[in-house]
Amino acid sequence: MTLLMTLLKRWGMWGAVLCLLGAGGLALFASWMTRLQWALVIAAAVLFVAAAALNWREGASLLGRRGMRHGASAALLVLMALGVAVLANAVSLRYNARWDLTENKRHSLSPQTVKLVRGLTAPVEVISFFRSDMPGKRTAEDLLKQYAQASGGKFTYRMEDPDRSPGLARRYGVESYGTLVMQSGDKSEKVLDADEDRLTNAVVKVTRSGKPVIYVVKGHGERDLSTAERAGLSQAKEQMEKANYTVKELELARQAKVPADAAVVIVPGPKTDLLPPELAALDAYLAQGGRVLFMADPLQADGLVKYLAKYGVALGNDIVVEPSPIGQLFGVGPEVPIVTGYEQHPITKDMANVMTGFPVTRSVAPAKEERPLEGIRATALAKTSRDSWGETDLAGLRRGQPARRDPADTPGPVSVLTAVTIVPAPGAKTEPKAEPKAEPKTNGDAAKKPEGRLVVLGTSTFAANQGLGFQGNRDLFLNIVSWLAGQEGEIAIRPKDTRQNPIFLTSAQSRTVLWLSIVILPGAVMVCGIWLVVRRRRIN
Amino acid sequence: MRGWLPVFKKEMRLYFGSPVAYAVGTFFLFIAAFFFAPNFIQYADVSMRAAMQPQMGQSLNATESILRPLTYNMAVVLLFFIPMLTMRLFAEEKRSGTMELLLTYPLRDGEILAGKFLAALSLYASILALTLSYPITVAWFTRIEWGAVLTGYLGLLLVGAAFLSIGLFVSSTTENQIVAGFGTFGALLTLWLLGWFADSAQGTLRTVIQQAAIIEHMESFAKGVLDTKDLVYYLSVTAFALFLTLRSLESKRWRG
Repeated sequence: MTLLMTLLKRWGMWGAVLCLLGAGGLALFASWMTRLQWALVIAAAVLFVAAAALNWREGASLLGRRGMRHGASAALLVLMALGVAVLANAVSLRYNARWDLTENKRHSLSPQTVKLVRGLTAPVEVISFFRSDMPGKRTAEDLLKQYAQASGGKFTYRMEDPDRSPGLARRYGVESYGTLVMQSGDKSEKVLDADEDRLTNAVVKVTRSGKPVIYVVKGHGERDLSTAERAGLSQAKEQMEKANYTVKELELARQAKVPADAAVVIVPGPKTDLLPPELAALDAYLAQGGRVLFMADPLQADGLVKYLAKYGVALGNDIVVEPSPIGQLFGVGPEVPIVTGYEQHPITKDMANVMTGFPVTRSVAPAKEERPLEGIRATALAKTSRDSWGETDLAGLRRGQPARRDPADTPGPVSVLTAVTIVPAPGAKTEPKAEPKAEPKTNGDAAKKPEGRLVVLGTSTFAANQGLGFQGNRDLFLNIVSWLAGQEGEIAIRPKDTRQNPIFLTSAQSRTVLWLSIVILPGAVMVCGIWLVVRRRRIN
Repeated sequence: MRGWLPVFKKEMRLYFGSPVAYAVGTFFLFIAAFFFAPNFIQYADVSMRAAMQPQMGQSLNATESILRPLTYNMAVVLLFFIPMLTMRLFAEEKRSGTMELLLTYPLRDGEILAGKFLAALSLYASILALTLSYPITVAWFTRIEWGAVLTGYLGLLLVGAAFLSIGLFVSSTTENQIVAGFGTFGALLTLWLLGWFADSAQGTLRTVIQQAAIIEHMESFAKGVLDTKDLVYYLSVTAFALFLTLRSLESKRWRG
């Protein structure tokens, strides 16, 4: 007992300090105030009181000295003030208010994002891979911080340097600096550029419950999902599943109706014509805002030509030939036209400077109707080069004659990929009407019904195992699928346009600004000073 | 509490009656101009190029490209200038022995401190007011966002107040002006460099270091965002440093 007393008397204070330091250290690394930290704080208090009580007599006589008394009370006051300051900062860190005084609120999240993030039910974690000295790092962190603040703890992020933790980068398949990996549950999504639009849509993707279902039609000699041969679609299936979709087969002839849970229906290169009830099922599906991808190979299923004409798509009866040397660089012949330029569209948004190849394709273009079809807007997305043309002498090609450009052929550049949006008119059928009308607006009743979307490719080889690996084909295919599934950007966030206010200076003006700021203004202050000193000297 | 006024007046007379204020003002404006003028002219060049090639699609925002970096850079420059404003305040009094005199006046320590602090702050604010010529110059040529300018200057005022109070404290602990100047500079530099270490830390430690780093908080002010956590930081640093100064002054009385 006496030993314990002596120990306490001697080392109690030091023990208390150590306990406090331990608690503080833990608070830095673990979350604030776990049970262990509380235990340490209490132990510190007990040790302090015990040691103070045991040292009472010595302490009292020491405090009796004037300097000591003042010093101790001053130290105590300083510690208290420091505590108050630290506490104020800790509180303000957690409960802060923020006002963005820029005109377009460009340093704040948009209301859509705030609403989405505030309503998160599952935790979302972002690991962002930036080199420490990257210029975009701070902006990205700034943005992520705002997400985290808006979410109330559901959204967390951490910054990693891929050079310092290469293992982590490899685990998440990070290939370039500035990649963000967003995870929630078993879903993950990579974001390559940290802007609000992409981040918010990634949040939507990783938190959405259930996976969108993609149905792939079979029964007319289409390409097969499970075949891993060159002609199969197994890689496309794998890629879609990786992108959080469920892929199923669909025998349309048997069901006579597109299942209600279909997010996208793909018709991958039918060899024979689809039956009228099947086409009717697709019509009905599209009219309700369905999403369909047609891959219509040349020389096959001619019924599609008439069918797609209804949706403003002209399927050419030709094969696109491109004798340009680019294709030969990749070891592909003139039957694989290369596309390097794309039209502006959500599908092709990220495709700038990425090449794609369309093996054995027919031309697919928006129909040149004299009168636009109501509610239907077709856009050509990808065109082959000027040197290419759509060869119409198919009989000659079959006989093995070399393709030659002649006046009957479709002149290049030839469109090979067309996207269509179908806005259902309120209360009206989507059958194209004869009367020309202004384009329906997306507000009002029409906005309540989702718009139908249709993408038509002139080839199914594009998505087959033999074509999917070519340059940017896989990306373009996935872009098409995600646009159709409506996942390319469910929440459209207007980029915060920094207001353009250019300055135009004449050379005289720029000289004036230079002189005024660098010479005249500091000079004026200096002259005042000199004048003052001189005047003082004179007075003295 | 009217006692601060004579101290304030005396300090102001000292500042403006000696070359100190003018020298500091001249150099500060000179250096700030180098953060402003070349940037301004470069911006005009970029505007011209963008006008000739509209496809460049640059975002040309004068507030963002000229004034935001200027505000931030001025805050960094203060690291070097504030010690010059504060080093004399107490150290000189102590060296020349006027400190005893001052302490025997029927003035409370708080009043002496308030007078000196407010004098230094007023001098700083008047130098700062001269730099308003930069936003005005920009506004002459194009439209700028005054909201962001306002937060920028509020931030500069706050960061200046925090620096000044730290300088006052260091000055109150020594009777050597040079020591006071370098001590202040060292303290400010340490608080500034803290922000650099934040990048290599993780989790809560990172947050703590970031919150403690002194220039870090200028970022939001400079870009036009008013955040209570930055306000609280500068105000608490100012208050704590002034409190320390007060204790340091008080200790003179009982340490003898």
